[in-house]
Amino acid sequence: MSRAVLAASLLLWTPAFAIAQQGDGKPAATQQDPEAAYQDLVKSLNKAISDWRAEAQAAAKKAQEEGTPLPAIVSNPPTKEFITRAQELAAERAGKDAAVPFLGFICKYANKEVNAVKKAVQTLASDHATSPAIGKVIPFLTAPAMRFGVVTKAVNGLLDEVAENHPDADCKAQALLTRGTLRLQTAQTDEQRKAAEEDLRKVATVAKDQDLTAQAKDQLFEIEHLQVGCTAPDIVAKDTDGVDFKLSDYRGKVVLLDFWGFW
Amino acid sequence: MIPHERSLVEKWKDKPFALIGVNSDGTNTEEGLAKFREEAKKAQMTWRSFRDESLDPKISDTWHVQGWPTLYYIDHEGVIRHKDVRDEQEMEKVLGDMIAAAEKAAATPKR
Repeated sequence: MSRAVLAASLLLWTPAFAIAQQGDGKPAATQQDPEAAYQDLVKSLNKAISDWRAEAQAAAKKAQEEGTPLPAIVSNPPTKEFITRAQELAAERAGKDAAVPFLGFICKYANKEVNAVKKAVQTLASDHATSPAIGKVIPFLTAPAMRFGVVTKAVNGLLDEVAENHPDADCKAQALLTRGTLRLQTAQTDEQRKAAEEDLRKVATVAKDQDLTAQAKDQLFEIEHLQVGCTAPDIVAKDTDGVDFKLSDYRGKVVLLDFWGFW
Repeated sequence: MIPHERSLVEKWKDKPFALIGVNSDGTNTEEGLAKFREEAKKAQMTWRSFRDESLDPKISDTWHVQGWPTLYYIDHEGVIRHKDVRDEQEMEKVLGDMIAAAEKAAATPKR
């Protein structure tokens, strides 16, 4: 989901209350609505990440040249203070719809802050499972569920709850889409793939938002065309020199198709 | 990776086998193409690759590629038989069996 979509949805909300915001050398806003607070937080995180990236790349290059081990900075993006700030902003709006984007922020951007993610998911489940705001943050649950074993169960519980019981059709559909995608990515057996497929097929019957249906269809493509036993989708494209050719030109031969790059 | 693949292409050059790449080095730009050609020459690549960026969405997006390299093993009838076998010995066994099946099919007269 784009930030613009989230911003648009946030605009629909009445600010729970205004908070004073300072820092970054910007003039302090006396009346800050949740959307502005959220955008500020994302903007300052992105700035910190791009500064860190430049510094980390330089440090990594230096280490490579000198043949020394990679310095710690390389694997430590500066997320901690922003996660803490998001926790504060969520706490100030505890129980209200306006807390949801900040809890989503924690799920989306946490790097090593596993406990913060765990708490955020628990709070989303206990306080916001029927909130109209939850649909927009559900896609952010995929990454932590894949990365942090300790939150997988909580994420699944929340997705089940929203998929079964949310009053809004598109929130429900979003939960089905995310659960189906997650199930597909982690599926080891045919049965698990079947469960993923059921979720993804159901999206079209539930969703009003056609974008959700399109995303589900895109995921289903993998199930329908990219599994062992499927006829490979044809590729009609250019080669690296710009000359057209087709994968099906090689019918009759065994093809090892290799997605690769020098980089 | 590349030296092993080169050895496969060499080993099965008279067999019904083709290694086809989908390359994501950005050969749709002059700069990317120049760099690619230089690297390909150095690596002595003899096989053809699709330009990932030549379609929109990119081929790797349509094929839901989540990490590189990703491998698909496609038989003589165009059916996906394996995915992501990466162990070199295992690769040779899997491909050897598939090639034998392709040769057998070619030798069987069609009615």
